[in-house]
Amino acid sequence: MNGGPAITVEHLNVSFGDSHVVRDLSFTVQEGESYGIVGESGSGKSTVLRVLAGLNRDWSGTVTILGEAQGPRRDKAFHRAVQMVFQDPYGSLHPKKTVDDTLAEPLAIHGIGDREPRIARALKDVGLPMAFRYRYPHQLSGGQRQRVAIARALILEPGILLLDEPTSALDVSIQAEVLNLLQALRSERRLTYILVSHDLAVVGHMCDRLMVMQLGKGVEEMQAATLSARAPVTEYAKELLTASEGFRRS
Amino acid sequence: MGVWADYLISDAPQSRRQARLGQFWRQWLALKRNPLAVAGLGIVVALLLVAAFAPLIATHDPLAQNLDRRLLPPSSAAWFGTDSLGRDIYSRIVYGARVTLVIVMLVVLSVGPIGLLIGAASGYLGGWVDRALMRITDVFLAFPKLILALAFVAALGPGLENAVIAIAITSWPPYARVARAETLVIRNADYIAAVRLQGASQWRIVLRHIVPMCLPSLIVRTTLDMAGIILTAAGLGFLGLGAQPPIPEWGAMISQGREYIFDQWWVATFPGVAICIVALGFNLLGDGLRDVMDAK
Repeated sequence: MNGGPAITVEHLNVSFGDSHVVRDLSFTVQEGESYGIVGESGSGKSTVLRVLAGLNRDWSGTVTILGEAQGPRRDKAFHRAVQMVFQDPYGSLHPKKTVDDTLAEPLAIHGIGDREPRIARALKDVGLPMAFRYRYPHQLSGGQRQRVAIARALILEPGILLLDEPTSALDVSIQAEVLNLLQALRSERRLTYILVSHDLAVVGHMCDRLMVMQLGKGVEEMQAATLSARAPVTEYAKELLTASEGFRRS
Repeated sequence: MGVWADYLISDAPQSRRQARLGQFWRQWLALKRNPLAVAGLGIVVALLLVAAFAPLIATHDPLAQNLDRRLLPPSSAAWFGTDSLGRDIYSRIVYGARVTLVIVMLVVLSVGPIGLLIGAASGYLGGWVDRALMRITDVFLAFPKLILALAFVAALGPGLENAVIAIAITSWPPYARVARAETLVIRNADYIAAVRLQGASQWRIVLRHIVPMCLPSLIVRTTLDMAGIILTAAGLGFLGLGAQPPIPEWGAMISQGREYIFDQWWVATFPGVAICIVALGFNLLGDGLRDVMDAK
């Protein structure tokens, strides 16, 4: 941990019409830390991520990222510092663009030169062979697509990576590969992660600290060690932990 | 041949161009499996060739009048007969292909981009932009196409260029609607969120990420619409508001043949058959393209 908060969220509230999706949520993520947000579907965890990314503009509260208070609109410096990997690799790559186009686009937007070596390096970093460079998404498997999505997020060399269930659309054998890749990239580049997942095992494996959310509220914040010791304090977190162990014959 | 096929089908293309050509090649292979679409393509290609080589294919000057030889039935000298001014109908139909093609191309080139841009901007930007653009579209959609085109030609004055303008003005709204509907589906996709997150401007997102997704359905729609455009142009020509004499426009030729339809059937029939075949060709091709381009 390098110290200093990378992301501070205070009293975040998000409503879609009548439904209050996130209620008075506060948390802090240190630079270099990996922070997990877990909860059932509908608990508002992905919404928190979309607010942080600037994709959701209707919210109230205070969001401070790398020392800068963020409004609903973000500037180019923000986009270079914060990137996101989406849940469904089948929906997050433009179907009419080759891997090369997808990776060149962020460089073009930010006017960054020497694209050739950067794209080649981005592919190498996520473990994709150069032969994939000019393929279309429909010529790739789910795991390969997610690697492309990770390469796209990292090509701007951000310090913060928001991960929205990055493995839940992949089959189990590929999940481990992608998680290990994310782990390796984090230690290599000292990235700050916020990982949203419904899977306690994934969060326990990937994160230093985590927050349990229920119906838009932060129920409990704990260290990963607390999770692996199966010693959460609140009832809901215990329930979630039990549920994650799967069906048991009594 | 084998080398080329390998190059095109390679799953590890070496360059942008190879990837794109490969994509086209796959679509062509898919289109080739559909005999009706190939027939449609054949008709369209034939139209292009006839228009390009009209002077070689025609047997007579399409404008040369010969009042001694008026209203002759089809024969070896005049394959489709002659019209009321003794002009060779076959040669006029051949040259008419050029007129038809010019009308279709001009309309498509002006209507496609306008409709696409208005629809995509409207769908993506939403809010008051969407409301304003869609109400304008509604105004145009509220009139029957041919009636509105008639009104425009009446205001602008008869002639081929004005007919094209009138058809273009009246046929963009459905394109805008299609593009908007498509955009509404795409705008919330994760790959659009991803480019937004990269800091892309709204125009960049619309032009480079949304438009390519709307393009296939628009191409299909355009191809299917070509028949309608030809018919509208022919309709305007028939009413004397499109191409002016002596330009050999198919609709105008039918109009001239109307007076003789009972005694000299060939004057109106052959241009009618030409319109029918070309419209059918574009329709078949459009159907085939839809199957190919929506496949993914």
